[in-house]
Amino acid sequence: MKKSKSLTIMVLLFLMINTLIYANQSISGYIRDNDTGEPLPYANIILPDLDRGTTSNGDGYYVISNVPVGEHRFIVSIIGYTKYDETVSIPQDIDKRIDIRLKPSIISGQVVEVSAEREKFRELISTSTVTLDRRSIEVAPSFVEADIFRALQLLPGVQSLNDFSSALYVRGSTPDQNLIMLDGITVYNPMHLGGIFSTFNTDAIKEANFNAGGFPAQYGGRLGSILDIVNREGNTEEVTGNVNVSLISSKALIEGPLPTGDSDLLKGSWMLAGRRTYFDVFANTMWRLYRNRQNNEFKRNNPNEIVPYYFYDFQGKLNLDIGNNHRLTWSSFYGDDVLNFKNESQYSSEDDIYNSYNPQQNYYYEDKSKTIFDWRWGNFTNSLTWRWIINPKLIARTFIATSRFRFEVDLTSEDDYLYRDDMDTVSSQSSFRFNLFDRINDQSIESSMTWLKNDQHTVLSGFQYKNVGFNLGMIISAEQTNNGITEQFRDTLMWMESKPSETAFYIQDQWKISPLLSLQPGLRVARYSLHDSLYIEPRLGAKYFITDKLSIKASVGRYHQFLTVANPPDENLRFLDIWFGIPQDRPAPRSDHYILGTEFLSESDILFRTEIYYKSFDNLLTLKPSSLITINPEGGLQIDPFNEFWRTESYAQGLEILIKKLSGNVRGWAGYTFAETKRKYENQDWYFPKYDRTHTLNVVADWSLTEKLHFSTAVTYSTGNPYTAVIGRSETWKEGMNTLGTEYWSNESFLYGERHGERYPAYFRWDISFKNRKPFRYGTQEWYFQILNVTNHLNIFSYIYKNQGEYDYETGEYINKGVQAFGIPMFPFFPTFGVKYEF
Amino acid sequence: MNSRQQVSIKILIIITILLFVSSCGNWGWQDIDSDNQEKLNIVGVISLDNSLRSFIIVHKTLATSGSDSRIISYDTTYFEAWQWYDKDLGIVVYDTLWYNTPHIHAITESRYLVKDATVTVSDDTRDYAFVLAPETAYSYDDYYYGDNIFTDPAIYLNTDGNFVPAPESHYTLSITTPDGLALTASVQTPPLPQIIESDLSDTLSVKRLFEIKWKYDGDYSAMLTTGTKEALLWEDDICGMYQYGILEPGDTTWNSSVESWCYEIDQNPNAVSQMDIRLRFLDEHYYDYFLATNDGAAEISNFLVGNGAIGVSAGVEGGFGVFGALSGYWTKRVVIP
Repeated sequence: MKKSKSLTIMVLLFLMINTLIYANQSISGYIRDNDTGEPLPYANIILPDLDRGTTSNGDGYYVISNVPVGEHRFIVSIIGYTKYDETVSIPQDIDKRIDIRLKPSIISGQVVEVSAEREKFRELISTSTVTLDRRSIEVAPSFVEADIFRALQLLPGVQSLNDFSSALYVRGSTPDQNLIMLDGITVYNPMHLGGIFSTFNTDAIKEANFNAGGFPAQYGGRLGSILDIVNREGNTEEVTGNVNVSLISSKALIEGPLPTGDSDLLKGSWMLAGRRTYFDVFANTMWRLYRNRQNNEFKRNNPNEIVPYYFYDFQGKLNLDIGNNHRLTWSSFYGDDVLNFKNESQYSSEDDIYNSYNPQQNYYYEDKSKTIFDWRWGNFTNSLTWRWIINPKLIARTFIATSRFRFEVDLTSEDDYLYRDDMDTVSSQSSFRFNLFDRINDQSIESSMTWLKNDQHTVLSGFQYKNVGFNLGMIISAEQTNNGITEQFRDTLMWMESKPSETAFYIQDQWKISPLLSLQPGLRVARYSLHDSLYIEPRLGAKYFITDKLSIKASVGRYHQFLTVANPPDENLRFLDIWFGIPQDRPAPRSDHYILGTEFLSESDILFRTEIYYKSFDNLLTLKPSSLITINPEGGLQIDPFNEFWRTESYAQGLEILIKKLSGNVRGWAGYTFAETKRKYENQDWYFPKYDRTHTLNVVADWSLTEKLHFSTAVTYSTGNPYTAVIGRSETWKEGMNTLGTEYWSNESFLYGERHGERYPAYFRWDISFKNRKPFRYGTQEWYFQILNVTNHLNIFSYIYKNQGEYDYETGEYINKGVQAFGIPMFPFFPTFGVKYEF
Repeated sequence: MNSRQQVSIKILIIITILLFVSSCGNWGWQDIDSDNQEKLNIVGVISLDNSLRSFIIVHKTLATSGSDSRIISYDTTYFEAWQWYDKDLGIVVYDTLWYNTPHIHAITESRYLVKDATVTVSDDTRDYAFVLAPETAYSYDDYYYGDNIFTDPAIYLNTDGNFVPAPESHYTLSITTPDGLALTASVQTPPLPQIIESDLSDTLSVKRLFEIKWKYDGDYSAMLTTGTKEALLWEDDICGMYQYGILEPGDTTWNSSVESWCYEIDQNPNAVSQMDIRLRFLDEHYYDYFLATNDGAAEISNFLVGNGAIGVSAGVEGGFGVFGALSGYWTKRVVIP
């Protein structure tokens, strides 16, 4: 009752604010690419005779209000496209709608990016924001194929744990503190292959907006960062596509207009993209060819498949414009990782004919067994967005979405035994099943209003309701049938289920106080169904232009998060996040962000950005690792639910410098990060978490050697990650508790030093990539060849230790040299190649 | 591609080769050094259980470098070679091909051992000296299988007979060594447990649940173990008689369990044996170190978890290990399948 009352108040408040809004005489419309229909954000729209203007937003939408009646020169420009320059007539009391399609000029990709960056420099108040388009993502060399997370890891402030993980550690935040959205839908565990690849197919991505901190009021529910990935809308003019074949996977994308004929009322586009790894297909085929040439015994003793793993994903998007003012967008993603293998065996007394079985003896036995291991994990998301231009100054957006993540391990073992002789027949069937699963079902509804009041104020308000169901369980069951008599056993070893909800209301104003000074105050009020209190989150962004090329930016904000993960706090490999809602008796984790920075954009299109930041984290929950499996009083194992935590504090501070070259033959960026992150569990000392790297330098460059040939490179140098070193040897004593003797013994063990008190050697990696693009029949063909870790630098992933000696048989002496360490390497020198066709 | 670009690419290739050659790291096992100081690592038990004598084992930790054992002497009479009995020849044959020279057998000793410590246990009134035990201090006579604690070469015992621990008393331990290692510890001995014999049948069947009760409900953990100290013949051994349980503070009852797998094996249905029942009260140091500590986590390398542990200790200052106490009560019952 109390919850619904709060929700009602929020909705009423939201509606009241919006009813105060009214329209003025204005010019509005969309700016789009003439060839593809994709919206063009940050285009300049100018009325030169009135000395008025604006820029298009992320959807390509613009509005200029309070335009006097009469004829005005109307210019729309964006570098890389032909300029639109016409005279428009503005009648009395009518809002003029002008949708513009701009034709690309010769080298569109390059110049559009320049223009967008320049306009963003002028318009964006938020700090720590970077937009990566598809080309920027593809420029950064990555493991086998382009990956958005790998590109983000090369930005200042973003740390990676190691080469095997594409998880993002942003300014001291762990991956679970990043809100990762695909077309606005929250995506949980967006990883393939244990984190080596991200879930997202880069061919389908239009752009990714990444905010490393101080994000505005419309975003909440996470403490760290925001990554909003926007898929391509689909070509509105013609059917196009591409096929990409790399060493481990094939990708395909096709897009085109909806078949609405010449209807003015209905127009739209669609996009469909898919990807599947095929290393399993290749390896298993080769294996089967080999296996089929071997004898029966070899076949019986070896499995049908040797690589039982693959992943696949599909992304789809459909846009439907209904008239000028309504747009429906459906977006969907489906992806799974599959690890599946089956082992069957059959054995009978007849197989034993050359050993002990004598056919004259009147007995027979047979044994059939089958083991199936099936492990699947993946995401399924769906969203429907309705954008309604109520009037030129008021845009409503309503969004409903579902996001499901599931992780299921299913192990089934069956055995069928038969024995028959003159006297008796014995049959026995047994089966065993183990099921472990983690399921997340996220259902969201959001509604927002953007009020483009005038040139000074853009007000955004909205509410969000999110219901997240968590279900984590472990079940074993067994069945035994002996001569027709069946016994069954089933035990639920672990079962956790909750379905908390989050409700939030927000309002923010982008307020241009003067041409030099802009503010972005905002407020977000959130409620979590398991807690009684409201969570108030004030946000403030500010920007001041010292000159037209140099600005100062600042952001402060408070953030709460209502879910967390049960992962070990300092794991080296992060295969999976096990999510659950913040328990009722625990306060919501909280973070405060303070960011101050400067931006300078030179005439030669080089952007210089420096930022310093401080983030505090309170009420974080860290699962006590020892409480997962305990020994019950009877001496057996029991799996405890996740209910014992350390209350954890953390802070992160640092300095970041980004130099980004936006145009010319050589483009790219150099980023330097100085960072310090520390964590502290209750009653324990502060320590550096696993992902802390003090100094990081990234250089990413894309060099157009010729019109067809590109060379790109990425260099990373950073302080090594911290680790806990072995500092000595000791013995740990054991007691023979289950015997009546005086049994005590010792095991030699290592003595560990201060937690994460040492660091691995400095990390260095240099990747290069060549791309050659040329026309090919009905489209273009692109060959690419890349080498990871060109210098084969040994970057340590982890150490393993040994304290083993060996006998010298000449002297009879046991020689032990002491403790030795072996550094497990990350990526060595690793060449890959692939080909891509576009049509 | 113009000539300037061609030159640039060549330079790039050269730099790549140079870096490749210069930056290949050391792959393989590497020695590691640390400046960690050695510390004492002990197991000390004040025992109020008649079956166990109070003892202090004194070991130490080692740095990462160097061997964990040292040669203390050579057995020059020992000859080691690969040998087997040849049935055809009827003699023992020595392999002189692979081991063509007799080699000297080195007698080594663990460097963890500390055999020159001064060990003193004190109560409120006086000090008791614990001295390095002579080799005759232990005997296998009482036990039929291994890991007898008294075989440790660095075990210290009170040999003058003055040390008689009392229940619910406070004891301190002080250990010093000539090379400057030192450690202190203290412990509070638990009370003496007492099984309520009258509530326990004279004959117990392992296929029927039975209950063992005891007096005292203080704040001590307990451990109950059933079995036998005797070496039984196979036909007298009774499946299911070996059980144990760890009891929380305040528990005064233990319930047996029936091992289902005992039904599936052939055993003598007429077997009759004596079952020893032992109830021990444990002080918190003993319980924490041996029974409650998730010592597996401390031993896992940082490969996956990355957590470290400085060392495991309970009730000890200045070093590692445990100084604990226990008390025991023994009784016997006839047991049948």
